[in-house]
Order: sequence, then structure tokens, then C-alpha cells
Amino acid sequence: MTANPFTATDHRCVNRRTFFRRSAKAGVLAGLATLAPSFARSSFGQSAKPYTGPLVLVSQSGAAPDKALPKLLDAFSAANPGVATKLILYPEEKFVAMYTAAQAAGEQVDVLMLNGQDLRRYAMANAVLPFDDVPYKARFLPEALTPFTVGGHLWGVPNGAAGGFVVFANRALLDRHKLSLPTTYDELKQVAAALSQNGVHAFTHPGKVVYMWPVWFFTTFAQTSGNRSLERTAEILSGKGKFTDSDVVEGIDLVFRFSRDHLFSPGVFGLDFPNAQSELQTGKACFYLFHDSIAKPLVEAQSPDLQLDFMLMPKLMDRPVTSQYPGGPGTVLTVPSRITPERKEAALHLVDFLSSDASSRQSLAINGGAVPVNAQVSPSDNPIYQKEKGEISKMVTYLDWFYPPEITKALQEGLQAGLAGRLKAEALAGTLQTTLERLQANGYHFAT
Amino acid sequence: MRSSGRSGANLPDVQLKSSTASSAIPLGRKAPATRSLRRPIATAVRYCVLLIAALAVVYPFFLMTAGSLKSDSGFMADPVGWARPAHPENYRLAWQEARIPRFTGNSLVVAAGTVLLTLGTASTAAFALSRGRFPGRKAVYLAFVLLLTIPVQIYIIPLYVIVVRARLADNLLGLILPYTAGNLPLAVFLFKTYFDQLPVELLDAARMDGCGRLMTFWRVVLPLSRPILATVTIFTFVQAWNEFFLALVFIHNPDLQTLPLGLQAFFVNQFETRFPQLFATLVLSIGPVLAVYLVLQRQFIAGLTAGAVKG
Amino acid sequence: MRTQAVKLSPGNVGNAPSPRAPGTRAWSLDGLGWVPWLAPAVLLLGVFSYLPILVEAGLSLFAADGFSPLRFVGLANFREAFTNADLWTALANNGWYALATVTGKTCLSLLLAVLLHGPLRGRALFRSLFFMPVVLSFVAIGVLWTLIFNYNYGAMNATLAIVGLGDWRRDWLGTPETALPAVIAVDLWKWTGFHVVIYLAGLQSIPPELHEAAALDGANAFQRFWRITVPLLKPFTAVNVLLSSLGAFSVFDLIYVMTQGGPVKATNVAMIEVYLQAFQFNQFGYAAALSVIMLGLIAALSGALLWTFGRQPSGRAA
Repeated sequence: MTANPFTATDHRCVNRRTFFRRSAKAGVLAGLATLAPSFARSSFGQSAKPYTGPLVLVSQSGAAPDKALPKLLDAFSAANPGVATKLILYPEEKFVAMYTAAQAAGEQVDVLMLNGQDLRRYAMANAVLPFDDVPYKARFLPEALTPFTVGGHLWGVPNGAAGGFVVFANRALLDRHKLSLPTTYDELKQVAAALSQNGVHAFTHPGKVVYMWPVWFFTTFAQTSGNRSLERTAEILSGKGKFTDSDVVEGIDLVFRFSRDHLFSPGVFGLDFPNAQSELQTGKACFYLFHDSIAKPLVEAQSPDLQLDFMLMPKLMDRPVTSQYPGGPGTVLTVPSRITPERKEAALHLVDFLSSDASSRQSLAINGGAVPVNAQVSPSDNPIYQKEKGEISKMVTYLDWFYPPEITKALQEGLQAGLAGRLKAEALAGTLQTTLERLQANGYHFAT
Repeated sequence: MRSSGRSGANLPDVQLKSSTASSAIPLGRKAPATRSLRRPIATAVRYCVLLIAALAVVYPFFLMTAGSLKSDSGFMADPVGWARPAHPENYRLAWQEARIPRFTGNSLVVAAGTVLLTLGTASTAAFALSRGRFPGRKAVYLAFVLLLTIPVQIYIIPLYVIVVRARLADNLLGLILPYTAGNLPLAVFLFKTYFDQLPVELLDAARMDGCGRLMTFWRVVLPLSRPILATVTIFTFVQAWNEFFLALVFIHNPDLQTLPLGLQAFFVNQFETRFPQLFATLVLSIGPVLAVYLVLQRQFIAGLTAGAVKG
Repeated sequence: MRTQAVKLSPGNVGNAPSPRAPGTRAWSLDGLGWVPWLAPAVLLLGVFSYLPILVEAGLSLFAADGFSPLRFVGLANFREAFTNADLWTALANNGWYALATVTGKTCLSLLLAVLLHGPLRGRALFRSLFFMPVVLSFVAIGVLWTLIFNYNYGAMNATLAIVGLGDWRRDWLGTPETALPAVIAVDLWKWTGFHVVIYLAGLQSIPPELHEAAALDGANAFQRFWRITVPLLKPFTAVNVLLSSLGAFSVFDLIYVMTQGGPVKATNVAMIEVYLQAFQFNQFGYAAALSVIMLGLIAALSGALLWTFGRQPSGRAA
């Protein structure tokens, strides 16, 4: 049952006792037992008539499911009799459409769990509440608040763990062929050549999923921009630079170079998430640029054929730059600004509960994660996350958290076309710049 | 009737003559000698081509069944051959982990509800459109057939808003009603075509016996309409059983997920390829719809062809 | 899914017969009396189909991105659509799709139906087998066929290697040149059996005496096929062509589960474009405009085909 918390009966039927029994197994009983009462109804304090009824959290179901969230919500319901939390998951790539429809229909939504990209857009439209006055800001790493601060205001609180897209590697394959993790592009090519003699491809990737390609550009652009990809993005979007500048063009071309040098497995455009992951697991490919959330299940599924390790992208150029990787500080919890006053307090209360240190610990024990956004919570003991923690200073916020959606779209499609050999880097850069200029002509302004 | 007349009207003159001529000559056993010699070869060729086609059609089903009986590693080693040794516990795991019983129950409720509602509303409406002589009849019929091939994806967001406003979100009725609406154009079209061809004498006879519209419909028309009822049942059942997109947008409660949605959630949430188990769930999910088809297929094909062959 | 279930049988379209029967006439003419017969169906269709379509049509006049408030833009979305190359590429893909599936389904199903017609041991079994893909869900089809076309462990490449065509192996769904043909092949696989059933009905309607007589006159099997079978099957061919062309322009599910329009838009048909604009890029107003355009196009196409088909019976096939 633990395999599938969203559909399994335990999501609905778990009561407080069974929840604690399970939590005890995870070793977090103590934390929650002390925590839950403090979040019980009494803590509503001055409110004369605490809200009772359903409390709805809307979240995104992405590649790796949040297996802790349903349990935490049940714990909250148990600690607050009369409040029935309900979790609604919209698929990540359909989120905005479905949330918009839900809003238009007047559906109850009390708490949102978003990625930084969507938060930014809702914040700019004033569709979520500002969280500037939240008293427990000190719980979080200061860096974890930055991406959720737009236009000088904080629009929610971070949740989960910071982490990003690292290059997973199958150590078992490398060891078998007496190879080591490459540190430069030339070494990478040599490793790839050695692997391919043994029928193994260098990189697998879910290339059919068009929105997974931009992370490659974020990775290369971090290097071609001289580790200034975030600043350069802000410059470009605010008109002080252009997508046609040489560092962008070079970054795009470096992505295409992986394809030119045959570093992807041959069926890459036909692969979705499970296909790509199974290529890594079955030893068909050795490297996988993917989000660290899959580290926990993959490490648990290790076999003699799969020993999971990771590296940051090898140095792609001769210039002295640091290899960086795209990522973000987990997700963000916020409250829609249209919420009714009587539910607002309960919603803020739920946000407080979910972002508390105890909840964070519980979540980390179940989901894993490199650097918890809660400063007082220690990272998962999973070796991958331990190693990633040492690299966290090299994480750069996903650039598309700042892009307008039109740019993201053009980048996704253009990268896929270029990797298929149908588009040159200059042409894609030109498309991006034209798109941006058209937006600017229609009144687009980049907000910092 | 009209359609039989259609075949007749199409006959080129020469053929009509041949036909007349042929009926004058005793037929059947007196086929030319060359033909009977060729027959075994012709039959062999027929079988060959049909077998090749059947293999091509069946192969994916074979792949699915074989895959469902392999172990994970066995599948990765040989994804295309038969399962040796068979590994039937995938079915047990699929049954338990993928919550097949729950999803099947939901799907059965949705499919049965959609079928019943579609049969009821479409047959009565088609009867009115076929036998009624009232103004606006053609316009109403046109309004139905106009939506024959309009995919729901293009208006799904407003539809979702309507369903939520009607307090039908996260409710199986919130699937049954839109599914029915989606099936109505085809069902009304099929029913009306069929009713148009019922001999008017039958209805008159019923009328003479003092039957009103409802009685005539219930006692005379429906009993004669078993083939078309089977045809509409199958199309509607297949649609409601397999529908995925609407259910994905409308149903958020895991306990109310239908089979395709549940399987997809199972597959995606696992986020690891366990093709054998996935195939086992697919085999289990196909069972009921295949059963409905096989039980009704004789009637179904009769109904599908009634519009043309009847005369 | 809903789109693909839309398959219909041959029969009369549009103008119903007008039996001048004295008996039924009395209640036939009673207009108001028919209201309860029609009301449930009309209500369902109105609320769950026409109402959302009207809202969608209204939305096409606005700029809507899900974040900012709606902004009235008049026909700007339509202007954008007609000048955007993506729509035209998508429609061109629909055109190729229609050409290939209509030809393929018609020829294949005619061939199989002719072979199945007449006494043959196992006839019912073949017929049932051919029809089986029709009842299979798109989720299942997506899983199965992406696996078959998979580069590394797909049956397609494995078979090619076995028969010595190893050089032909490729990433069928991941290569822009082969993705559309691959999806078309699956479409043929799914629907040919359905069209076989329609042709079988047509073959049953041809009196066997015609063939016997023509044979006596010295016509060989091929001549009889061309001179008797094909002309007499014309109405049934019309149905098959009608259904497969409408299917080709409203195709969504199959492509959604197999390629989602990719790679590099090689399989991006119009309905996928509508879907992507709304769900992936949140251009709701623009997507609505595309919907309206497609709605008009499909309605016009159905109208044209139904009209042609409706006229078919009266036209002489000489």
C-alpha cells in the first residue's frame, strides 16, 4: 500500500491511531505527538468560532509523488476535529488550466502548493496572499525565501527540500568497464565511446516530454554565461541584453552538441519518464540528467547492475567556470487571495502546520531530499542527498521560473527541433528574442 | 424500403439483365468446371491473407498477455517472446496494488449508467424524430448529428465549469451525464435510421389495437429493435469504459477513479517501469469490455448493418 | 474516448421517409405531445454539449491566460490563428493523416471483407478478431504501441533484425519522418476491423445470383469484383470514407497517448494544437479560437460528406 499513497486506501481511511502507528515505524512519532496538540483547535486562540468543514489543498502531481503529504493532511484533520482536509492533485503540465477552471467554477481551494514558476505568475496577478507578516520566517533558510519573493513581497512559504537536476550515473557500469566520472566534455566523450563499444549509451532522457528539455539549456548556459545565468536572464528579460547574445547562442549550441556527438540513446525522442528511467536501471544508458527526487526510490531499487551515483555536468568549455545545476527550494505553500475570511485562518493554520519543522522531518523521512528548506531539519541520510548537500551552493534557480510562458514554449520546442538536427542555435536564439520583443511591444515588463 | 431500393437502384442495366437471366437458369451446383478446380487454391490464398491479417491484429494482444506473465527482469531480457516461465503473481499484485476491484466497480457504474441513460433518452428522441411530424423536427435532428465527431477536448474547460456548478464534480454522475451527452449524437442517428425503416404497417396495426405512442413504442418498436439496442449498447459501453480525458479532469477523489484513470495514476505514480504488472492490469481491464462485445456481437453486427441490408 | 467512438452505420441521413399512413398520422402530427419524448435528450445535449461550446466560442473573443483578468480582444485570436504557421502545419498533418487512413482503411477493409465473405470455416472467429482493437482503450493502445515501436526493446525493431533488415531499425515514434506514419499504422490497426463489418454488410446485400450469372457469362473473379462488387458497394464505401475522413480531422486520443504531437511537431494535428495551447501554454482565448475554427471545419466537412452520401443512393452507378 505504501507504494501508492494517492490511490491507496490509507489516504482516506487512515485514522489518527493508524497514522501514529505508521509514523512510529518511520521514527517520527515523538515529533508529531508533541506537535499535533499545538496545532489542535485550541491554537486557533482568539477566534470565537473556529472554522469547521472541508479544507482543500490543491497541489501538482509531478514526476515523483509526494508520499508524505497525504499523511500530514490526515494528521492535521485528526488534530483539528471538524476540519476535513482534502487533497486535490492536478497533473503538473495541466495545472494552470485545471486550476483556472476550478476558479471559474467557484470551487473551494484553501491552500495551494505550487512551483516557483506558477507562484510568480499568480503573485504578479495578485491571485495569492502576501506572506510578509508571517511570524515564523526564521524557520527557513533565507535563500529558500528568495525565489518566492516577487516585487518586494513574500508570497508563500517554502516546503520540502532544495534540490535540482543533477547528472545521475550508474557506478556499476563505470566500474565494470574501468571508467571514472568524467570532469570535462572530452572525458565525457571518451567515456561515451568506451561505453558504446559495450552497447551502452551515454545519456538517457525523457525526450518525448517536450518540457523536460530546457533543463539542459539551464545547465549549459550556467557555464557559457560565466556562472551568471540568473543575472543574465534578468538582463535579457528586462531588455538590457538579448537572447541573441553570444553566451545564449553558445549555451543552446552546447545542448545541440550532445546530440551531434551522439551522446543520447538513439530512441531519445520516443522516451517518456518511465522509459528513460528504465534505460538507466537496466544499464542501457549510464547517465541521466534528472531531478534528485528520484534518488530515493532508485537507491532503494539498487542491484548489482545499478549503483547510483551522481555528478554535476562536466566542464563543457575551456574557460574557467564552475559547473552549476538547475534547481529550486522545493515547493511553495500559499493561499489564494479569493479565500473567504472564515476559511482564511484555517488555511494559514494548515500552511503553518505543513511547513513546521516536525512536518518537514516527516516529509523528508518519506520523500528524501538534499537540503531541507527548514533550517533546523537535517537532510536525509541517503548517500545521494548527503553528497548533493555539499554541492548545494552550485544550485541555480530554474530560469523558467522567470520566463514568461511564451519564452518557455519557444525554448521547449526549439530545443527539441535543434536536437533533432532541424534548427541551428542562432535560429532558436532569434526566435526567442523575437518572441520577447513581441511581448514587450504588448506591454510585458520583467518584475524582479 | 429505402436502402434496399438503394442497392437495386444502383444496379447497372447489364447486371440487371444478367440477374433476370440467371434466375431463369437453375443455379448453384452447376458452376463451371474450372471454378471448382480453382477453389482449393483460392481457399488457401484466402486463409493465408486472413491469417496474416489476424496475426497483425492479434500480435499486440499477445504481447500484452505474454508480458503480463513475465518477471520484471524476464521482461527486460526478452520483451517480445512468450513468457517462460510464467509468472502469474503479476495478476495478484495488480489486483491488490492497482485497486482493480474498486476501479472496475466505478467503471461499471459509469458505463452501465451511461448505457441506460443513452438508450432511454436517445431511443425516445429518435422515435419522435422518426415518426413525429412537427415543425423544427429537422433542425433538432441536425443539432444532434452536427456534434457527431466533435471531440470533447475542445470544450472541456467550460464543461468542467458547468459540471462543478451543477455540484457534480467528484461524482460519478458528473461523468455519466457528459458521457451520455457525448454519445447522444451517434445513438440518435443510429436509432432514427433504424426506426425510419420499421414497416409503417406494424405501427398502424398497433394503433388499430388502440395503442398510444408509448404503448406502440414499448410493445412494438422496442422488441423489434434488439439489434440496434445492442449496437448502441456496445458503442456507448466501450466509450464510457475507456474514456480517460474527461475523468482525469473531473475526478480527483482516488476512490472514485475509473479504470483507465486509475491505471494511468498507478502507472505514473509508481514512476518506475513495471511493464509486467501494467500489462496484467491492462489484461484485467479489457476483460469486461471484451465480454460485453462477445456476448452482444451477433446482435451488434446485425444492428450495425441493419440500416443497409434491411429490406 | 468520445471522439473515436463516433462511428455510425450506413442508413438514411437527413430526410426521413414520410409514410402517409392514416393510422399513425394522428399522433405523428401532435407536436406538443412529442415534447416529453425529446426533452431529456435535448436537455442533456444542450447543457453538456451546446452550452460549453457556446461558452468556448465566447471565450475566443478574449485574451485569457489564467492569471490576468479576461480582456476583450475581438477577432485578434482568429487573426493570430490564421497567420500562425502552427495551425497550418497541424491542418496539413490532418490532411496527410486523412489521405493515408481513408485510403488504407478503405482498401484493407474491402480486401478483408471480400475474403471473409461467403462460406468459410472460422469466419465468425476472424470477424471477431478483426474487431477486437475497436474495444481496446487508448490508454492500453498507448502503452502497447509505444512499446512495440520502442527503439531498444520494441517488437518492430526486433522483427526487422530477425528478418535481416537490421539497417531499417529506428526510433519510430521519436523520428520526425516516421512518427506520423507510425501513428497512422496504429490507426489502421485499430479501426480497419470496424470498416470490415460495414463492408460485410454491403457484400451480404449483393444478390449472389449476380456473380453466378456473370461467371456464366465468362467474367473472371477480378472482372466480377470490379464490375459487380465495387459498384454495388458504393454506398458502403461512402460510409467508410465519411467515417474515416471525419475521424482523421478530429483525431486526438491516439496521438495524445502515443506522441503528444511530437517530435518537433511531426504529429501535431489540429486537436492536439488546441489542447496544447489551452493546457500546456494556458492560451485559453487562443485555444478557444482554434476550437471554433475546428468546429466550423468539422461541421462543414460532415455537412459536405453527409450531403454527398445522402445523394449517393439516388445517383445511378452506370
